[in-house]
Amino acid sequence: MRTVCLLMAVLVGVISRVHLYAQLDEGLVKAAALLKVALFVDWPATSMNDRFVIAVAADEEFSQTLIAAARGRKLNNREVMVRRLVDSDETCGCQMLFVGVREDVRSTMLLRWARRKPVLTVGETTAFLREGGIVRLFRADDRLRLQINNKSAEDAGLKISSRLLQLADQTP
Amino acid sequence: MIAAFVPCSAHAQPSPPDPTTLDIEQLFDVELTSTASKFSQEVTHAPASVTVVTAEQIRQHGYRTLADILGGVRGFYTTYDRNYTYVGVRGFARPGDYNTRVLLLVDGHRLNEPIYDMAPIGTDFPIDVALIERVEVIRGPGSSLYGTSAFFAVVNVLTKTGSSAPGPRVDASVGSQATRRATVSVGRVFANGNEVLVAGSGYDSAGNSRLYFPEFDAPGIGDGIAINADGDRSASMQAQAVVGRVRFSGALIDRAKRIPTASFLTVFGDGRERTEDTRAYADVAYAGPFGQKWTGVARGGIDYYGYSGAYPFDYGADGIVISNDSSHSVQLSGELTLNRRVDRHVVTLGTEVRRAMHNHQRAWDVFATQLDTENPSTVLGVYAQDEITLRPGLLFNAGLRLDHHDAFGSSLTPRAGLVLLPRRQSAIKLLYGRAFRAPNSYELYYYGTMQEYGFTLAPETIETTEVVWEEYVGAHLRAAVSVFSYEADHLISQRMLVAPGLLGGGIYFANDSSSTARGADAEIEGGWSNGLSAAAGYSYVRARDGATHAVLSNSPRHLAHVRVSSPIKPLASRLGLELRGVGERRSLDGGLVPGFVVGNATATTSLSKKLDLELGVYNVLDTGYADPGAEEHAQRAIRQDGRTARVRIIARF
Repeated sequence: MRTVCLLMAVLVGVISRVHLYAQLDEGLVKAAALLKVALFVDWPATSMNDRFVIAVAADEEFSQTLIAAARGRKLNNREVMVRRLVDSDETCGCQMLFVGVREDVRSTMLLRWARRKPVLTVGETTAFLREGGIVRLFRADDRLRLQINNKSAEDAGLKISSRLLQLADQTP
Repeated sequence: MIAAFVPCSAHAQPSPPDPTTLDIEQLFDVELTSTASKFSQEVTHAPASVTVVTAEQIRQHGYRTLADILGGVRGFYTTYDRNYTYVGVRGFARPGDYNTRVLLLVDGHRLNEPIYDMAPIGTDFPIDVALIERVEVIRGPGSSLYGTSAFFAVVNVLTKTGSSAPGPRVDASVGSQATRRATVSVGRVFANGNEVLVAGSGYDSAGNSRLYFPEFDAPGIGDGIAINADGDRSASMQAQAVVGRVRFSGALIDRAKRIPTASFLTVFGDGRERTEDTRAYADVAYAGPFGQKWTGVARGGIDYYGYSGAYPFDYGADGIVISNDSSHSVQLSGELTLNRRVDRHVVTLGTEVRRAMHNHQRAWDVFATQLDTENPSTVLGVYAQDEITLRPGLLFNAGLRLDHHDAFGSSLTPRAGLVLLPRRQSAIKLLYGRAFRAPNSYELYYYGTMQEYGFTLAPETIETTEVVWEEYVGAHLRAAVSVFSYEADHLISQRMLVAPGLLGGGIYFANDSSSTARGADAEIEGGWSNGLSAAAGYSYVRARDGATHAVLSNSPRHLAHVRVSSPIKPLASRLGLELRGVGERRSLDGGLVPGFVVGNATATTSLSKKLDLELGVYNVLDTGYADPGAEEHAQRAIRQDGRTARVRIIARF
């Protein structure tokens, strides 16, 4: 018994290496990625106001995480504002729209509304990309990953930088 | 056990960086904490007691088979007779039942085949567990939606897709008993969102090279030791593609097992007793809108099942003769389910048809063919369900299914549930349901006694009532409690007719027993943001024969489990520990098979971003324990393996 424990402890200890970073919470990384992704997208000048509005349709926990992460932040000298969509909202008045994984029913409706408008739509499912969403953030192999539907981005009049496209898993 | 790791985990840890300070490349490179810190399930509105086992949990605890997964589910336990693995649910694991009373689905496709109704959960399960995304276990009767076999529970295995297992990967392990397994998979997501995944696996194990069975340790029989007679091997493939709203999937497995137990009165130590099972299916399913107002799923599939068995019998003067069994079936199936929300109602309507075009059983030896029977069958089912929101926080769910089987007529199965959601974080469910299981071809046609005496069989039925309470306590704990009562009637059981010269030794099946089970189970699970997760569960059940009131065989009154999985951050590793306890069980001869506690330990570590290493030690306490034998065994209990280990490596490219 003790031999086995020791063996496991030794094996795990000897062969692993210390990671550069500790493990990070998925919600925090996703929120940070949302804010960072916006730096690599060009919006048509006409679509910009003095504030950068991110609308979010997601669960309570992630919405709060995003609001906290965005607090006091600026994107290209514009103050970032996070707005939670309520059930009756059919439009977002935003530059960026995040749709959480559990919002699959509203997702179709929101995407229909955002189609061909200069709104960077970010979701979590493959269905989201198929239905015209632009960016997908998802978890695989304990890492956050990215997919981009550049065709939808072009339709929306958004220009995504090659640095971001290179990070994406599959790009058209 | 844990103490051995405390010095490691006590190392000073750097405080985690604020992710917003990382640059974009780093954000997509940092390792995320386990999702186990989030709950694997929310308070469910489903009118049932549900447990979800996630891919994360499967990996953290080094589960090797679906049986390993199910054995850790509250109220479930498994029995291994060194041929197949059987699942018991809430006190019911009838000896000789080939998992006929649990419906097993893979991505919604039925795996129980039409000859034996068997749900394969051991090394005969066609999907490698590493490619399972989650397993949903729905306790209680499910016949009102699924028809036959959804008797004690429905187990739905959801597999990974091209996006959840992207790129090529190799998953290989070696372990005790000369066990080797390798799986190669390739997943891909295309620019248009379509996905494919293809995988192939090989498994080979010598099994326990030296098994001692005291029943065969007697003068004139032998020393009771079965040497090198426990080999197990399988080869499998799976593939799936998601194209728009259509999903194509298929799987294939061939599994051969040598049987060391001399079951069915075969010759002990002969070495030739074996079974081989082949399963294959292809399925195409569309999920999406049907017209303006309905959504739903349309599915079509084809299944192949083949079995062959070799059984060496001592024919006296003629010497040892191999008796062969074989069977195969080809089944076509189609199903349509439609959903619509109308005001306060969510209505589900559905229909299902299954046609076993070939349904063939054969038994022969060098002297004669004892059985050669072809029994095609057709099952047609229609069902409806309505979920009504009576007022906010109060749902009523009612469902009804009618099945028509061409061999014995119709079965009607209702289900009703009242789901009360007093607060956001709690649910109380009052449930009632009926389920049935149709007699299968093996029970109806295999034994000549059935035809000679004109015995027929009707479906067996179960009626259940259950109260479920689920509660989230604070941000990190979830608790669930169930109290249930099961009444099973007309259970099909194996009987022996004592008359000389009967084919098949006079074995036949009859709808002649009833059983009741009353019990309760509870579980508490916790997940914390530092990646620590833990769960503890306990179930108590009294399952009795309806006529004699004797406790059923292979029915433990107590089941318990404890699981802990903790990151060991400085080492980029994780340690999973698990204890499973099964109370004493009665054997068929009325004796007692002692209860036991088995512990498993799994350490996983990331050698690099693309390489994971895992060490698993199973039955780490080297507990000596046994599972009860069935009617076909001379053994009243079959001893299980002691401590074994495996080393596994997962490489992603």
